[in-house]
Amino acid sequence: MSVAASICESVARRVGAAEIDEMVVEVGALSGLNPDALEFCLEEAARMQGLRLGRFEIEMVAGKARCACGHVYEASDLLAPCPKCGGFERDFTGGDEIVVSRLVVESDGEEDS
Amino acid sequence: MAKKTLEKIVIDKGEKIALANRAVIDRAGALALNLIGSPGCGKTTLLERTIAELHGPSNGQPELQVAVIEGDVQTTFDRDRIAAAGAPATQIETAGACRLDAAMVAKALADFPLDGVDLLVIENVGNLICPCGPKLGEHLKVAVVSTPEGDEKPAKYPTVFARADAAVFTKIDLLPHLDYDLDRAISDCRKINSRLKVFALSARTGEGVSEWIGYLRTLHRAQQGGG
Repeated sequence: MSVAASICESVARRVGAAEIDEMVVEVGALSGLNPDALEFCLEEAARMQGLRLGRFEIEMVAGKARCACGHVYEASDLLAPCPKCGGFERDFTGGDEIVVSRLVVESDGEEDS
Repeated sequence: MAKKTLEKIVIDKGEKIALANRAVIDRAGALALNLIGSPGCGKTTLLERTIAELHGPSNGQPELQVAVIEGDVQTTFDRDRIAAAGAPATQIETAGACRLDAAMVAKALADFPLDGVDLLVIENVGNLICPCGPKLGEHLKVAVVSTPEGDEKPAKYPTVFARADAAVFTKIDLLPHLDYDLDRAISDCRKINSRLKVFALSARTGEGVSEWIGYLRTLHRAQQGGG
């Protein structure tokens, strides 16, 4: 819920009270966030923030890992070994980010596309 | 009305407040740990033992001065236990929240002087999942997991072990009474995080405690030396 609230606060800071036509939130697969729970919380958090939220989508983005063998690969399981060398000497270098990757609002200004 | 597509927003999950907390802790020259583990895994007992080891006899000068910020949903029981063990302690009652966040810690730090503190331990709310997310301003995360919880816990709850710098397996004095495969649990931890420092101890009998205390001494020395 606090993540949903952070998202809506950040969006509100950017757009004011504008009507949000479309929003896509990218969630890293290693973030520990459950997309269903986030979806539910986003609706509630938007209401609390006074945002009118139209269509929105949550996209899971694979994490990244860099193995000691040099292999860089997409990782979604913290227990899975490096697919190339089978070793576990790898660092997870991404996959816990939360990014509002697409935000389309109703605007009085010029149309951009 | 026209439609306008805006630039993407990277969500700040409290990192700014966590960095401000870190600055306060660094100014005091303290090393800060974020202790994460299930309810009843022995976090507070581990701290009582750690304080006893690092403070030494109550009339002497502590080898390392420990201070503790306790996080619980409700009550000040743990703060009182830490205070009885001889370390300054303050309590955050989260009123329902399942983990601490940087803002709660900032509020606690505002009324909790760190002068002379070498080791600040932030004991998170008992929970193996939610506290993995928010950064609090700590230097290191320490996962605490007890043998009665079962040896499959690292595999089932990997995130905390992935993000932790060290893991402490507690209550190993109970191993003769349990079907617990410590090697399996440790090997799963290493698969998740090959850099993880692992300790196995009993705060009650003292077995394995000296390795843990040695680790804290090393960390403290490294911090004093390396800034």
